[in-house]
Amino acid sequence: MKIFIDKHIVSLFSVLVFHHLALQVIQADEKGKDTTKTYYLGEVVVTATRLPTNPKNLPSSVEVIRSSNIEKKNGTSLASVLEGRSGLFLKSYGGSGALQTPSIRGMAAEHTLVLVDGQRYNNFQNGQVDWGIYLLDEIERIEIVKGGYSAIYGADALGGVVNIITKHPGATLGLGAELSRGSYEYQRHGVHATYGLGRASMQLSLRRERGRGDYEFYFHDGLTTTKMRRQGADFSILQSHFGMDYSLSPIAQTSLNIRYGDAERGTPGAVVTTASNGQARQSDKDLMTQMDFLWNFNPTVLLHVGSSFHYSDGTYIDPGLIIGGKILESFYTNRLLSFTPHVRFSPLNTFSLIIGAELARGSIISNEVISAVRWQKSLFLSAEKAFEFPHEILYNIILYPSLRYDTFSDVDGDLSPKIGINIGVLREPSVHLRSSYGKNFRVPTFNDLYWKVGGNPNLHPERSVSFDAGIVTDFNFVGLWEAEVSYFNIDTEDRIVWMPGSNSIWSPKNIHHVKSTGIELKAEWRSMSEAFVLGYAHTISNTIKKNMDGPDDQTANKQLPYLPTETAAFNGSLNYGAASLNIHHVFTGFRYITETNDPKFVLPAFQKTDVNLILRIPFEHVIMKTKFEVNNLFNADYQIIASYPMPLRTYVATLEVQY
Amino acid sequence: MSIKYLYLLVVIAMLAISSCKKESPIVPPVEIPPTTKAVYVVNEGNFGRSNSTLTVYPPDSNKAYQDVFAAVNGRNLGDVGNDMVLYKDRGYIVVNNSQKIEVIKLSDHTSVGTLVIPGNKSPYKLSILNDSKAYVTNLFDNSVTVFNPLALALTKQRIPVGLNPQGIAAANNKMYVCNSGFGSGSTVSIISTSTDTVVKTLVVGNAPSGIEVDADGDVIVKCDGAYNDFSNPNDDTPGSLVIINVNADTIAAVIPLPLATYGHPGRSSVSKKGYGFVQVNTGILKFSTSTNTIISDAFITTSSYFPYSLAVDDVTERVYVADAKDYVQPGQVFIYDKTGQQIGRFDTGIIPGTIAFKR
Repeated sequence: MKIFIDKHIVSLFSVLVFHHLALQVIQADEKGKDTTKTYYLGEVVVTATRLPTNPKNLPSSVEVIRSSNIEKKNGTSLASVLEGRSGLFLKSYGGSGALQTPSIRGMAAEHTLVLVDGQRYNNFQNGQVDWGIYLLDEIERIEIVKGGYSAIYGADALGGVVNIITKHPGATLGLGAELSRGSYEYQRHGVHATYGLGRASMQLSLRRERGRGDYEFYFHDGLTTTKMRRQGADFSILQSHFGMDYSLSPIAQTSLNIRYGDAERGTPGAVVTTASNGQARQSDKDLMTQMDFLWNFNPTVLLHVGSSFHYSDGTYIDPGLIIGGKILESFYTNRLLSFTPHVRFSPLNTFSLIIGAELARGSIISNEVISAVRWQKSLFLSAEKAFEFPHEILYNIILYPSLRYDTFSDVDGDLSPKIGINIGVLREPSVHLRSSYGKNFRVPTFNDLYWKVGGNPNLHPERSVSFDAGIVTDFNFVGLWEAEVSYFNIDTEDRIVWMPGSNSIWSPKNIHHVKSTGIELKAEWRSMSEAFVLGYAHTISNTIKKNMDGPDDQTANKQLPYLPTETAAFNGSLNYGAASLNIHHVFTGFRYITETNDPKFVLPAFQKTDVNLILRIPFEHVIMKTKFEVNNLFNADYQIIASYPMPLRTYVATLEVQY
Repeated sequence: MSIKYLYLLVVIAMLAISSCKKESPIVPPVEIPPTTKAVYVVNEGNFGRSNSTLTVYPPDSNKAYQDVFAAVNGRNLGDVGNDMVLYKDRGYIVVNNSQKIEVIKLSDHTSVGTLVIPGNKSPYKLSILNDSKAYVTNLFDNSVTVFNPLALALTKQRIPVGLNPQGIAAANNKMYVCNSGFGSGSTVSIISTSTDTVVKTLVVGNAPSGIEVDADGDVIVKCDGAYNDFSNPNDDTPGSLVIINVNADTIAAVIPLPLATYGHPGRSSVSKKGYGFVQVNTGILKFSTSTNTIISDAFITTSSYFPYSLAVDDVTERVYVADAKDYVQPGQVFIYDKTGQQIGRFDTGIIPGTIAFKR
């Protein structure tokens, strides 16, 4: 069991101890690479404030998914691992390899900022990340902070921020290989190696995942139900990663990470008849190169310079869509170069200040979008100030003020302030109250501004005000209990919506006012030996379009389509010796298909259960791991998006060898 | 309402007859004027959501019946209803992305059957020639499919035509097909209905999409004009109305629609009473099909909405203009009399795209 020690109690330790830990604190910075478990001081997250902080001390809710949690879920994509988290709903367009996008707190995919080791991953073209083809490889943990975070990360962080934090390479030789086989010719092959050499440590991994994707599903035409096979949904995903850490001196460290992904897949589209057999295909190539430099001048000053280059290239071809004698073919090439230096001052144990800047250049070349370049210049400032009291009740108050100013070469920028507070109400059992309030914005994407047919260069940013408040507690009672309840409210003005104009040409406008409110509950119980782990998450929310587009607008005050008002998830884990049995059950409430919330057109509620059994067999220096996964155990017949059927029951068996 | 009205007319006529009987034993046959019994609107719904619906509006009533197909048949109409043709006692609804034609009885709207157009051709517009032959254009297959409209059996799966065929009309035992190419096409394919082959391809104007037959038997083709590079408004070409002589299959006349005045035209509708309408930037333009000239640039002013579709009722000479609003909420149809004055309106489903009349 992890021992939870409040960061601010730790901060009372002697300067000597603090200094001794300095390097480990560096490692737990934005890259959060806390593999040195010896010095691991309780649960520490970095995304919410850019400071390593215990989650219960934060001003708003955070989800932490560690590699051990990832292993206990079915699947390998970002989507499969994060399914069922409170406040997060996944819009899935099919099984493995299909498009999957997130909705955090009722917001859209372009309102979720994805970071890889603290650096922006979303491109400027559509602001979205496909979670279906992002394979998790060598991941230390994933942090999800919910609510508005423009004051920390700038544009697009309206619904939340997902930070994927990579493992550090090991200092000694390590080798591993894995092999999976599953339903519908699903295959996965992977190798990884790690090696230390002097001041350098390196890791290399390569993973390939492929399948026919022709899973079974039910098609309903209203009178009859037909069991069908998905057609044209085959996929092949390659992901490789090279990482290197180099210690320049005892107080300075640099790291390099290069990730390359290549996904080729069929995207057959909606199934509206028993004869539907879309032939569209999509190809995505993605290169993310990051270089980080950390320098701990002294125990109170830390310099972090992050830089990244993200290249993404996509091609979409639909042979079934012949327009003017030509097959529909679209290509997009995005480049995003960013440079983010920041300095952290911690002059007092109860006070930290971060000052930083971000300079980025994004560009697009496409046959659908007018070529464009965007420069971004940003300054940010955030602080953490703790007031400690020698009481058992009301024992501390921590304030988190943040301010960020972003400018863009082609659209308006904004000033984004945020204030957060965390109040330690009770020391034992631990009870904290927390709240945050901030302004956020999303810049129009290149598609919004420069799409050749209907792009609107006069758009301005969407702006939101987000508020949340909650209570978090943990205590020991026949095991360790952790629970939290959060209320949230995100009020977005000038939301960009593509609307039809004259001659039926669609064009985006800053027109909608959307309000998203809800309550999230999550609770977890772990037995003392962690033989039993039970978790539960429940979210009740409404995402309502508030404005009238015209007189008698029947879409005003209605729930946005495809978003459930209720979701719940149950996780159970039974660990005995080398064996681990895990169950993951999700409930998703009904969803409207239409903006008018016509009750005749709804997607019904569904429940889905995934299970897996993991066995670890140590054999001298080698550990053999087997994992048997069953997805959709009870053959739930469901859709997340209308006419995009989801798979019935499927199986995957994996054998992994680690040296 | 319409049945009561009809009943009243018959009673009045009977009274008139009976009152005349005493004065004259020779009675001329009574002509019951045709009436429009129902207005049908096929609402496209949103692509991929299978929420196309059928609205039925009894003329002069204050109620439109929504989603009639599903209410009667217990299943949804399908994905993107793009056309409806009334033939004898049946209604034929082309459901584009569901790759099918749903056939209903007009008396009670119950399903007669479903004809699936094989091969994901994307059926779009329909024309029924007679009891044994009907022709449907296939938007993404560059072809026309022939079927027996009574037996609902395919006769010929593919007659190759030009690019992205849209509107289709029957005249002089031929089928005239607009090869739109979504802007890149400029021809009409003329199909012989005896051989079901293309006998001539006639160059008309850029992007022909709508086609109807006028009172003189001529075919009127509405060309939208090409957008070319969408990001460059200076390379657009203007739309036009092209009149085809169906005996010689040559162009008899052209009514130009200059871009600066009219923009790219929207939907059109031609009456059998010597005139037609087309939606342009100035409103609903009225043109003469006898002189082939423009009668009025703005017969109907539509500044308060974007007309999505329109249809003229030959019997009442009323013009029905549909407003699809923002394409995600139910639309409306505005009713105008033959002078262009609005006399009513009714609600529809999402994206009212096709209007048809039962008489």
